Amino acid sequence: MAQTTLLQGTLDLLILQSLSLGPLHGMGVSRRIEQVTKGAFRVKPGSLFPALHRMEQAGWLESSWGESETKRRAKYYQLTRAGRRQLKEETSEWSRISAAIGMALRNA
Amino acid sequence: MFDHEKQDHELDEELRAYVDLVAAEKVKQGMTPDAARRAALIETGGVEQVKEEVRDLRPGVLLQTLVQDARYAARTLRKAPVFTLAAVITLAVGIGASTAIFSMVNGVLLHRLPIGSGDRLVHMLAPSAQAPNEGYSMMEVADLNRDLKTMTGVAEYHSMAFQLYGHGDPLRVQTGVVSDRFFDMIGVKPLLGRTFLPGEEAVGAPPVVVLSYRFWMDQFHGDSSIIGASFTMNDKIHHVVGVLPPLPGYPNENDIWMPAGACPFRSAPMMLNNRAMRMVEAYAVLKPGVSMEAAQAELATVNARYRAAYPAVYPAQQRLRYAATSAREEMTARARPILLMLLATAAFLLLAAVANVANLSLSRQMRRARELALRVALGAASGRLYRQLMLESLLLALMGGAAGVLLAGSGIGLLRSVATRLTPRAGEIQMNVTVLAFTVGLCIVIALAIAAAPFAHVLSRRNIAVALRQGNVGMGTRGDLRMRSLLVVAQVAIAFVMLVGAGLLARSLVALERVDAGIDVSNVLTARLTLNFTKYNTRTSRRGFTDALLERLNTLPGVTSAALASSLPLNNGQPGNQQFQIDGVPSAPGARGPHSDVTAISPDYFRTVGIPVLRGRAFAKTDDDTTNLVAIVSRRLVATYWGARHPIGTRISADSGRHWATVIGVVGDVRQNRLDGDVTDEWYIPVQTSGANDLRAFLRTTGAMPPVVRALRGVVADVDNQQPVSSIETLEQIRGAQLAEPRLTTTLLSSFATLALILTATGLAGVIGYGVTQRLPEIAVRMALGADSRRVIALVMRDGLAIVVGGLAVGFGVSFVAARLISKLLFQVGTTDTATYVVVVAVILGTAIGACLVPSRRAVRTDPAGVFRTA
Repeated sequence: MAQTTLLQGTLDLLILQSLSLGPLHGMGVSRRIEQVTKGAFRVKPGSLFPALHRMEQAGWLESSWGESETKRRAKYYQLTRAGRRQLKEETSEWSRISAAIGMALRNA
Repeated sequence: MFDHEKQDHELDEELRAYVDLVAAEKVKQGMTPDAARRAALIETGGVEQVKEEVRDLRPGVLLQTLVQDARYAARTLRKAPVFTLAAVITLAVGIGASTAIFSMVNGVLLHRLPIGSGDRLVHMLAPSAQAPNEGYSMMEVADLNRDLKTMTGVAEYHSMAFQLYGHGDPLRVQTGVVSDRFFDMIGVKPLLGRTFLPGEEAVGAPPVVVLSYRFWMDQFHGDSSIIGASFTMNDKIHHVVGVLPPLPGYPNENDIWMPAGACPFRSAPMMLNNRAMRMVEAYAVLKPGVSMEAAQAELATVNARYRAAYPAVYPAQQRLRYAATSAREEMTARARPILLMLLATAAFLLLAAVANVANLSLSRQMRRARELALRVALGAASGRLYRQLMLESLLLALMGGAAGVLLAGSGIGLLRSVATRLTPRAGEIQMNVTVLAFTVGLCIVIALAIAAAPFAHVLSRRNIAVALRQGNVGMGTRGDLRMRSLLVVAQVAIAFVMLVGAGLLARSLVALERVDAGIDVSNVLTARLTLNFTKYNTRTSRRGFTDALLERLNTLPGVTSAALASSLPLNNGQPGNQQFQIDGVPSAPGARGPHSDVTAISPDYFRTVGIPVLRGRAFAKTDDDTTNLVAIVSRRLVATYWGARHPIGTRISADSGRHWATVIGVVGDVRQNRLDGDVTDEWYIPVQTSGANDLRAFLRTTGAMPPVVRALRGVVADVDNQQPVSSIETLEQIRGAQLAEPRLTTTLLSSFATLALILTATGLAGVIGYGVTQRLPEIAVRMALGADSRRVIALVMRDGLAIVVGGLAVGFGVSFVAARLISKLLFQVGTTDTATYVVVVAVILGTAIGACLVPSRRAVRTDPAGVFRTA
């Protein structure tokens, strides 16, 4: 599957969405995104972890340490209340934009 | 948030967990654990890189890298101690000089006056056809205070000496006598107690005084219980009601202040009620927002009104008018040209210093050229590189700045004493926040300047290629050599201008020191005896005092002759302007008639002070007959107004013929006022027949001064134990005082110029040496082909001389302009004085040759084969 470069905002949206059902660790987020986009987006750790840390600093995610499937200490991320609000906002924003672009392309 | 170690550790763990999970996945897909792990790592793309990416996003990362870069810069500086020391010392000299001079400029010229009314204080003048300021009468001041709408008020002021009793020895106190509204009007709040209240200036009001800060500290050591103390002055008891804060000694350096009514002189009914009795000065404060022009216009209007109302008081031919001049301007006008000259000098010195350090810095960067070129070639962000260079320069500049501030701070006392002779505002020179802010700003600009050259050098692509090819030999390109040579050309020009300035001032100083004041200053002690007016208000009483004093003084051991006079030679004041007429010599119509200064003297004056009697005789004790007045005149006065006529026996009159004095002698000329001024025309009268009561005693001694001083005090106390003796100094000291200011200015400028020359010499040596290094192959070839050492030296010197000649040419042009700026300070020397220019050119050429010798000797000692082997 072709690797398309993701804009930072889009990556944020995907990460927030992937955490909407519950906490995940870094790899979990990556796999979930891969899953729900049916393999279209495979986020590399070089983009994923900076994004996760940035969003944690922004206050949208909070982290806690837990045990991974391989019995190792791993960092789990979950949405904060601000994060949920951000997810809702970005989702509606995205719908608006894609609708507009769709209209533009149809009428070109 | 700033616990970096912990965060790093956690990040590490987080990523390791990730790699682990990916590996586990791959194992499930069928890979072996080892292969899975390797594949996982490859897929992750390098754990370290990821960590780096995360770290870059952390807040405070900018600060962290800055701190890191700063520490790195400090480390590199520490590893090059010679460079760092040389750079810091050079900068310290330049910054120190600039800070010192700026503190003077700030305190004297820029800083607002330390009074409430600030720049709105004006000195009112009454210029006429005969004099630049006739002064005001008390009635005029009162009327002006009432009538002027552009001023908040007008107050009277005069300053005179009184005797103060009740605190140890009788003291001579310089007293400022003012209207009671004076301090409130100009906006001065007392440090202790109060100033004057309305009504205290009335004649007969209870006498009060306010002490000046300096007087309070000197005499009472800052004792705050001084309020309420009382002293006797002018036969009245005065109470101290307040102490003033430190203020500039303007209009005079007064010890104490009293309200106008307490001055018996001014408050005599004859003076007070006479509109034409111009006894006082007037000071006023402009209303906020009123311009000087508006005030001058109103003054003209009011003047016209008064002239119409009192025609007798304002005779038409006197042409008296009213004018106002800014007090701040009066306080600073004399200092301004000197301070600005010093500022320009310091700026030049700083430029020379910065040029040197820039050159040094450039050399140093050259040595690291390869390392930096590699970094740039490998993609190092140029922003980060520049930041590091800037931090290095900033560290150097700040260290130089700190050392410079310390230097300047330690010299504050010297700066103040230089300024005291030029302005009453010398006390306001301080190392305050403004000055420090200036220094910091200067350091930043300097850092930029120092970093600019190496930075431009490092980043140019040609230089990167060259550096990568040549490695650390540091040979650079011809472009470098040109840039450095230009820096040195600038330094030579700067040194030239400063040396010319110093040379001109030095020649002026020598000329000044050779000036003949007309007196013999060696071994003469002087002292001031200001007689109490009320006590010695008759000629007889004064005569009694002077006769008794002179008799006793002449018997003192170690005193060969003693005299009294009404003024001091070299007194730095203005000559008097007594008009007179010569019997039988009609004054030419239209021309200004004869006029001269008048000095009252005792018989032995000329002998004591060393003025030759050229014709006739000096005064004798018997010349005390007021019906048979006698006079002695000075040589030039005779030459100017008597022409070919023999002066002895002629008569002169100062009051239009009512009283005549016969000329009995002619004496040599003196400079009664300033060494650099004109000879003073003098008319001497016997002190016995004069009204002078502010006298100077002169004692010509054979030996040491201190016992004579003690003896003098003793003798005066014998004659009148209430008579203060003040201003004890020798004629040599008085003459030296006039030389002090030019000596200081010359020393300062010469020191700066010498420093600039040293900087230039080292800069020149550096550049020539650098050129030699660059041309080593060429020199080696020449030597191999048989060139002897003389030719090699000539080759090197030629480059050096080219730079110097270029610098001299620029310097010539600049110095013609610059010399005009100091023309006011020159004495008997023109701004284009050939001798000075010739000497300066010789000095610079000599220094340049010396500076070029070292690198040229090195060139000669080159081993031709060795050069090619290592290249």
